[in-house]
Amino acid sequence: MTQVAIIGAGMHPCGRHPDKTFTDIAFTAAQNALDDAGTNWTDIQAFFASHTRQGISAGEIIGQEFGLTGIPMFNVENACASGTTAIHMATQAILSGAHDVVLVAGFEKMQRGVIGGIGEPSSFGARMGLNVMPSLYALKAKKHMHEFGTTEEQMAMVAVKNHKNGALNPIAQYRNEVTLEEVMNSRLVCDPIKLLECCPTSDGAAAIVLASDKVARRFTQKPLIYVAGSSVETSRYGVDDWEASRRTAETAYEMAGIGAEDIQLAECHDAFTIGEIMHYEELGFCPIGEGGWFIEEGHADITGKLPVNPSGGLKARGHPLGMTGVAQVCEITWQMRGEAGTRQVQNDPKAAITHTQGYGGVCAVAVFKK
Amino acid sequence: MATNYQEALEKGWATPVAKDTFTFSEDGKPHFVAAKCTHCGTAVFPAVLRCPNCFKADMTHTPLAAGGELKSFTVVRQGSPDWKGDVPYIIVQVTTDDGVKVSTQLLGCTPEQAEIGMRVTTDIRPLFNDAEDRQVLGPVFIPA
Repeated sequence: MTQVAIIGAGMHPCGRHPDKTFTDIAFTAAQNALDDAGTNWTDIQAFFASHTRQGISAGEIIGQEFGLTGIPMFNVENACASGTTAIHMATQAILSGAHDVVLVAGFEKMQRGVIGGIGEPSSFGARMGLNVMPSLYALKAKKHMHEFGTTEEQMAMVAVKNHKNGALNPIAQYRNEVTLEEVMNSRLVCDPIKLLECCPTSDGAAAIVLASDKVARRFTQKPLIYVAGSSVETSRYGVDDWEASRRTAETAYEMAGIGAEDIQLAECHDAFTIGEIMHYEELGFCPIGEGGWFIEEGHADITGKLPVNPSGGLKARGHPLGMTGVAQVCEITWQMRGEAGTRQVQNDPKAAITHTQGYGGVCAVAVFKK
Repeated sequence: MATNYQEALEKGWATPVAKDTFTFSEDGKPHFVAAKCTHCGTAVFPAVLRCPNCFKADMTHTPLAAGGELKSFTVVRQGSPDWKGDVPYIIVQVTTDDGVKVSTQLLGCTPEQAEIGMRVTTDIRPLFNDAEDRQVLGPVFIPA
């Protein structure tokens, strides 16, 4: 059976880039990925572009900068899970035999502040002021604290860890460390979520080149990282908050032929700190309800038994919506190759996982093997 | 007060926040309106066209029990740029006494008074004014 390998990864740094267009930053990331893979644009047989609000055919606009080769191009929008979804579709395209070399680029330029424009504008949720991203996580946080005794300090520890990691990442939006006190004393946005527990809005871009194992070695002699399993799923009626991510991860684990106990590295959706705590549980790193202890005991640190978000995560690397899932896979690739510099994890991971989720109940997971 | 809002709505002085989300019983008391599946009995708020449990399209609109229990809450101190009302405001998840999950705002108490497990009841409250300066009324919970 065909295997799908990541042969190239590239990024444009996250941050505020008012002097650059989305085409500028996406082109840079894509060129970096093509160079890293040892490929040219003319080797690319299909292009998947993930973004949420860059406009009609933003992918084609970027593709035109590279040249009119006539290949199929797809614009992928799935809220915060857009990037992981695009990788899933690109993987499926290679597994189907349709293509052997595919480019995925995720990019976004965003406004400052809490994001708007979520949901049908005339709907009850939108009109009542219920579609506030931090509030959706805050409601989960209050429940998690009530049911399991998770503390505000444990949530703040996620921000401290991810800022510490981001400080080591040259493409991170925030390269400053923060203390527990600074997080705890930052202003409330949606109780109990504080400002320093919210991911920023960002400009940024990331790209990867995927190839079938049949052709991968024509381009690169670097270690091949395989997409061993991937799944995109949506929520179901009448289930617990953690069910969709758990179910999606189980599908990806099954496809990869491994379990949560084999995972040695993760990049997950820490849009708000409670998210990362719940993802430890959902992805199977610890039992439901024990995520607070998982961070407090240091397991998720770069030096821990299962490093989570060594890139700095959404919290410190940044969260340009369409970019995030692709940037996670760039980080996994660099870490599994041993190219991550001062933030290199020390456990030589053989298996890794990426996870994003977004508005509307979408969840996307990919599992990687070396 | 709810009766006055009922009259304001009938005469067009006020407008509902979204269609088919609340109604008044004969005694003037406000209720959330859910879609209830005539096949399996599942009720959902806000109303949907098909049953999320059995996927049949036999949904009828039905008023929910006024009372319920607060399951989670948050205080929005920085809202979406789309929000036209004041901050802070409280968002709650409530399970009504007939077992339906409703997410809306909690009014009539301070953020410090909100707590998981508290008893709440349905009310109608003005949220903000629309472009024609009419009051926009929404179904909310208040402490019981």
